[in-house]
Amino acid sequence: MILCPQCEHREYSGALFCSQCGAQLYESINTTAATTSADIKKALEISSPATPTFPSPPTDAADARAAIQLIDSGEVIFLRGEKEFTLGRSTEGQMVVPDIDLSPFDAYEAGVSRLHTSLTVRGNQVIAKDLGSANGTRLNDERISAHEEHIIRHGDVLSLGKLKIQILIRE
Amino acid sequence: MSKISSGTDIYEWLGISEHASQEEIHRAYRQAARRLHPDVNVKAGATEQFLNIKEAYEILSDPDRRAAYDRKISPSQKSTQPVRIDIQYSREAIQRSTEQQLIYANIELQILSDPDQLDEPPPPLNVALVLDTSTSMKGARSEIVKATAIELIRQLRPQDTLSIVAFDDKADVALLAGSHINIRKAEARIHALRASGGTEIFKGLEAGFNEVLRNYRPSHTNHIILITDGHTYGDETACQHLADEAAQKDIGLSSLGIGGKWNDTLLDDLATRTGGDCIYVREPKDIHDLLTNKLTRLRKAYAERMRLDFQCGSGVSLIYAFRLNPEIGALPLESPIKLGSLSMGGRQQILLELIVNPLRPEIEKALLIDGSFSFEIPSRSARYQVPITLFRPVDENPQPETPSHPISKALSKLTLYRMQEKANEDISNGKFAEASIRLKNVATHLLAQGEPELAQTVLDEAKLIEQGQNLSEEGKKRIKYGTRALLLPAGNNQDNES
Repeated sequence: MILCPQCEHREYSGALFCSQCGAQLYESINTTAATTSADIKKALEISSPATPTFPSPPTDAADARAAIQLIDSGEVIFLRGEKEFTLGRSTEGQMVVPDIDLSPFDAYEAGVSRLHTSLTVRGNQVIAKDLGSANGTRLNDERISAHEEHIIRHGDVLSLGKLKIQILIRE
Repeated sequence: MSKISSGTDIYEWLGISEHASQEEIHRAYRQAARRLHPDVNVKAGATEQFLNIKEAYEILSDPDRRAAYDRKISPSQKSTQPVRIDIQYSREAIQRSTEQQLIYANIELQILSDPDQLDEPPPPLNVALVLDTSTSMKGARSEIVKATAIELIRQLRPQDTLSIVAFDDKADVALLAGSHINIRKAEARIHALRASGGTEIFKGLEAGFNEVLRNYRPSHTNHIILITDGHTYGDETACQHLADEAAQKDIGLSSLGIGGKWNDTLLDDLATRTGGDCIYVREPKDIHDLLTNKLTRLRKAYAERMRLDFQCGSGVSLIYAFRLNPEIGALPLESPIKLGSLSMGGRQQILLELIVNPLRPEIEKALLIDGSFSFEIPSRSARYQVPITLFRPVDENPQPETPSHPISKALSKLTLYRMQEKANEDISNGKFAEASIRLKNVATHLLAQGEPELAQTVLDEAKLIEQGQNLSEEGKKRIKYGTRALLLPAGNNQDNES
């Protein structure tokens, strides 16, 4: 048996979501924490899903200043430290693998290139750059030119091919 | 210098079935590699094993080499099965444990396109439309249903048969099935239908069933479509028996329920028993598109009478089964599960939730489900049976892992559907406080998933319960079919299907 961290309902081991409160019970790849129902409750208070709050990172990513959230699945990946993160998908035998592998999120079907976009965290600033991807990167639905730096604001949505992610920046 | 001869089973090396998907292969390889990599494992033979699985992986991850290998190991049957089956599990291994545990399996069966058959017309339809003409249908509902029925008659191909049954507290065959319909007469007959009287669904279904049976051909798509907006009283059991009889003869039964005042529990159940589906029609204006779509889907049928026969492994039980494609809805938990028809290139996707009891210590591989899909392709006059076996290795200390994406994505939404089901149960057991909390939880998740309108409906209903009232019938259906519609493949929302 496992206990739901949100509502302490008892679930069989192997359960993926709490049947009582709907909270996710597993940890995600690359992510050290997914959206918890506490975060969702916060979002509910603000009542507009367009201005999300920065989710509270788990202890081992406490210093993360930025995070990306997969729009489709709601999963959150924290970006730790100040550096450049490459986003893309990995395939077998690939020499340079992206820092953040989006393959688990149907990246191939969505037309994500192996090295698609980079996100650079500098202080409280996040900068996006398309890495010359085949299907391009869109910032809030506007295509950005390859290798051109764009400053990202909290809540901006990037589309890598058809895969949409929202950038969350800590205040 | 390949060590792989025709005698070895490289699927076995990776601990996967020969139906394994690319993702499964990839995961199995990564796991085995982590265990056996020469850097971490210095046991004698580990390096050898590592090289073996590496070679196995290289073959299986390349579709061409995999196909060549498959042909080599069993040249007889593989190429003739016109299907592809992909299985994914929520975890790689069953934990050796003294407790019961859950595992999910996602099964996708795709009927492969056959270039030789592309020009073949799909099988003829043998359909009965069973129309509710009780008093409550008066006005827009009845008029739109009649107009749509007339349109469907005009679209019939010479080989199709369509009969129309009108019912209130008695049933009346308005249009006899047959290939030589006098269209003008039929239209006049439908125009003349008047809404009056009560709703006795069994009488309508029985007449529709008899019509379909009279024109029944195994090579046809045989289906009953019920359109109603009301509750039936006292004949629910008779309707269920009729559905079972229809299922036995491989006649599907689907329903369109209009507005808030029909019995969704009954109509969902009839669909589950026959492999049909149950469609919620929120506004009368939606009748036309939803009914036309239903007919279009039936008309595209290529594989027919699909069913899953299965047996659970010892100590394993199936506790929930849900179909995600081509229709959405709960499935029965008893074998055989009727799955209706599928178009060429169409996919059947089923999610199973299984409980595994503690296993005997000598068991290293747990059998979850053993069975087969069977179906017919009438245009080829052929019947197929495709075996399917679900099993997982047993591991003392499996690594924590993220479930595969299709499973977690489907479950994140299915959990909400099941939570609203439980809230309904709570209400019928008088547990109003629990029901209200559950619905509020559903609403918060809906909001997080970008469904503000549905979230609002759920919150409104939660408020009603807090005030000591029941759910409104309309709200209850919006929540049920709204959360269910979240499971539709993206871009295939039932409301704007085209």
